[in-house]
Amino acid sequence: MSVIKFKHFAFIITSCISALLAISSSFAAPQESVLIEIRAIKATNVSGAERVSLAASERELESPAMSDLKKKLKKLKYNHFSLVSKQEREVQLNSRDTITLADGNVLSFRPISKDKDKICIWLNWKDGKGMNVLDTRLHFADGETMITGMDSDPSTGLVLAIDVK
Amino acid sequence: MDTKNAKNNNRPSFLEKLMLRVVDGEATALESVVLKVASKMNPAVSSRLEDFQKVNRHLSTLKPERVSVDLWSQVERRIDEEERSAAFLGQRAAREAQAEERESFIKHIFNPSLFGGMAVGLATAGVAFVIFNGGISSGDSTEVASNTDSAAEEIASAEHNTAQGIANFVSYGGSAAAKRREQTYEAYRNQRQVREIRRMDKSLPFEVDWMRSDGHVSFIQDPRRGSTVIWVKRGAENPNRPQLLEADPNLVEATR
Repeated sequence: MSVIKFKHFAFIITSCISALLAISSSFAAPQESVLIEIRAIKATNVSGAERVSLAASERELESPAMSDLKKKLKKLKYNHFSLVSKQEREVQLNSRDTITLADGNVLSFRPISKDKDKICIWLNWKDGKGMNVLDTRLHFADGETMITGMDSDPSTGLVLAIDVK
Repeated sequence: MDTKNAKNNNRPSFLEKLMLRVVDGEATALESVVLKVASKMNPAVSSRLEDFQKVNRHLSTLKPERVSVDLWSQVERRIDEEERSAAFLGQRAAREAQAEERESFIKHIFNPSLFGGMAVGLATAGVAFVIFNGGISSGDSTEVASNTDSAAEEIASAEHNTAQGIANFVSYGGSAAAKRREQTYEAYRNQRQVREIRRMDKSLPFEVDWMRSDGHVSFIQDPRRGSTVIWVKRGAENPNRPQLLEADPNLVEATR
């Protein structure tokens, strides 16, 4: 008899707590979100003879879309850069989003936490053949641009500039 | 009965124990006197005592032999291995404690009297959640599923690294184990390189918790500008290698 009473008691208490949790979650403040901007840049090695292309690349590097990356891109072994795509996503913390890039490359990301000046994010970049190019969890300093890239073939590469705010 | 006698014969008698104490210099003055009297009265006791003294003299002539194995170097190596395992896998004791904690928690959860109540309670909570949120759309459920998948994928990635570390560390003996140990040392060496890079430029724009790639990962760094590019080369030499964060000194040098 006492066991049955205890079961009823446990049921009532658990139901009340669960219902309260559900109500409180429905009125909770909206989750923080993170703004992620991804620029895909095609990097190639152009021979000196193709001066026109090199000049165009220089002009593109000076453009507002890429001027902030110029110094970083100059460190790479390529001499011609062209912006392929620029995508921006606002993602809630702990939500996953996926962006399709050029040549079947896919970038998945999930912001994990956001502190005062650091944003923790999981990134997964897969190429068109399903190769795991990069699978990482890192902490961005607010306002910094992360540059990552992969060589598609000996003379071409795909560079991603990732900004997280 | 014979067995019992044999056992009794193997045991040293009171006199033999006394003789051993006297020979080892542990006997009291009274015990020495008693033994002297006994040996004078009984020639068998006297000869037995002499045997013990001979053995004792022989043993005292032996010099301590040096052991060829350097015990301290073995201990030192073990400490080093433990430190590495702690760096890769966390403290051993803490893991055991966590396992015990989990076990007791699971036992607590599966308490039959509570389980039924909690299941119904959760169902009620689900209904309340649907009512207050105006129902779940199919898009939401897809997102939930997608998030669950990605979480599982992310955890799997992290666990892959840990499992690799465990596999590398725990296995001993055999050529395969030796190879795994080498891989662990390699991973350790590369982790050290990453730390060196961090020391080289403290203003890295990001901190890496873990990183995995099917390619060959390089950090291209320009110390003067304080920026780093993560570059992945396709067609790594060993595609099955464990998680590595690797610095390519040539590339770093080339940017200076």
